[in-house]
Amino acid sequence: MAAAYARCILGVFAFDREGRVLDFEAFPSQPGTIAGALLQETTPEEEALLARQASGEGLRRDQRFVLDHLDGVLEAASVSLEEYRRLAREVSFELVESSLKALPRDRLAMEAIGAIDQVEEAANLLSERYREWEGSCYPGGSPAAGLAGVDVDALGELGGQVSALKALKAGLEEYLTRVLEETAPNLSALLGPGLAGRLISLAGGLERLAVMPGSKIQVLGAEKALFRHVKDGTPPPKHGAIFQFPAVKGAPWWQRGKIARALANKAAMAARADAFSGDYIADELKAQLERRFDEIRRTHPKEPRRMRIIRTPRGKGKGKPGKKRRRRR
Amino acid sequence: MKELLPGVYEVRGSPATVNLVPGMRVYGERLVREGDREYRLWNPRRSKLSAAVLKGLSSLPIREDSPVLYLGAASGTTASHVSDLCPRGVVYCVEMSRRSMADLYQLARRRPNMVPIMADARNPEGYPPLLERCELIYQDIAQRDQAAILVRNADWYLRDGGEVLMAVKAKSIDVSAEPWEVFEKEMAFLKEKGFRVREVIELEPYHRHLLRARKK
Repeated sequence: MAAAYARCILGVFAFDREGRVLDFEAFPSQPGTIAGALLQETTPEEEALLARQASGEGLRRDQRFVLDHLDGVLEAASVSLEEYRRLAREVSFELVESSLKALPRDRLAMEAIGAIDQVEEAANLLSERYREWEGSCYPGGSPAAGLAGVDVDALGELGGQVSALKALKAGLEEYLTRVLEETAPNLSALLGPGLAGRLISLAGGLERLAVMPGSKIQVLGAEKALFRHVKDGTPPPKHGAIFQFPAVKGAPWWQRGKIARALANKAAMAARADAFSGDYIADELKAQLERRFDEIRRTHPKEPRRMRIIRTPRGKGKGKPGKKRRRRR
Repeated sequence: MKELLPGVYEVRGSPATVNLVPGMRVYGERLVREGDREYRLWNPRRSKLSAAVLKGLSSLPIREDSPVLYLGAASGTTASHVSDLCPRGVVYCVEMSRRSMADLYQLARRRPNMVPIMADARNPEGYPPLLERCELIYQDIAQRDQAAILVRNADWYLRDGGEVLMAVKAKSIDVSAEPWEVFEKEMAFLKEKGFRVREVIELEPYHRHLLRARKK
């Protein structure tokens, strides 16, 4: 009686408890077809085999049977080890080609972010123009003397386009949300799709974000301030794009850096899970983060006393006392 | 021609393997013709395995017809030399990064014994079902839990009595601990999982080691 079944590139095989091949259903011999079959949950060959072994019960799928009894499998299919390896290589090429051809969805998210930014910029610019134009047509809210239908139409057309751009932006944002929930579920659950997409975009891809340390993620988007710090010794930036996160933005200044750091570290972990393991850990991360935020708020409730600035270094610009400006050559 | 280890020769002061695809370079290495053979110099600065050979690795468990599982093949620099070492065998090369895989795929197309597998080495049960049990697993993935990953892969794809070679960079496992402590821990873990550690080669710099162990 069959105990287990397993698939390999040659087909689907049923084994008895000792690992002897009892029955099998071969795949067609073209590598492309085999690769296609391996990507399916179940195949006609599998169904046919299971139907034949109708006693069915206790027949579990266990891939190890193929590995442990490959000799028997090859013998049953009358295929030599060399032929098996040659076929395995051909099938692997098919599989790799299809993975490499697959849509790089994080790139799509980056394109969408770029488009959203540009649409927003255009919409703001045009709506400013619209308001100004409207003010000329309706000074003090009432139609100006001599305002004609053509004038109103021209203004109305611009107004229509501005609303269309706003609708376009909303549509793109919805699309971005969908893409990110699929490709970066942890990161978008933790930060929201907008900020998640922004970080991916700043990093140059999900994989690149995933290999960044939290401290780098913390200042992504604050490169100007960061390099000013490195070059001139100004205070380092506490946050970059991550400032958009409500808990960071809403925090009093003396907690903000700590909160940004905690958030960036969890974001790094979320990005890694998205890029590499595929596990969903966002809920745990969120809970840990909330605890950490509470701790920060509890341990730093009061505004620390700022040192009084007695003299601005070099007589110009802002500089924190106690930190000397350094200029590196 | 001095043979450092089976299949590995010393050519002009450097380890070298016999080119499986004469005339083909993989990463700009030098090709040297001697008689009817073409050797590919195996740069110890580019490959930890080559460095380990130079440092006196006493056995390289790859025979002419061995099946080998290579975890973390990247663009295939070291994997191509492993493929030279088993001309009648096969090297299953697992790599998950898209960019590396694009290179590896092109390389494998030209080397008849290389089989590229785009998968996450952390999930050996998720590899496509086209592998076999191998005589050697070579692992070069800088991961905190790399020993556990190796053990899981061995559980699926290593023959009884097969060997593993693990490149360990202590700082990738725990930056704050002493490198030797990290290393002891990895060895203890392997022992507990039924491996016998045969050899540890220290590779300078950066606290890197190559560990050779056998599954009991």
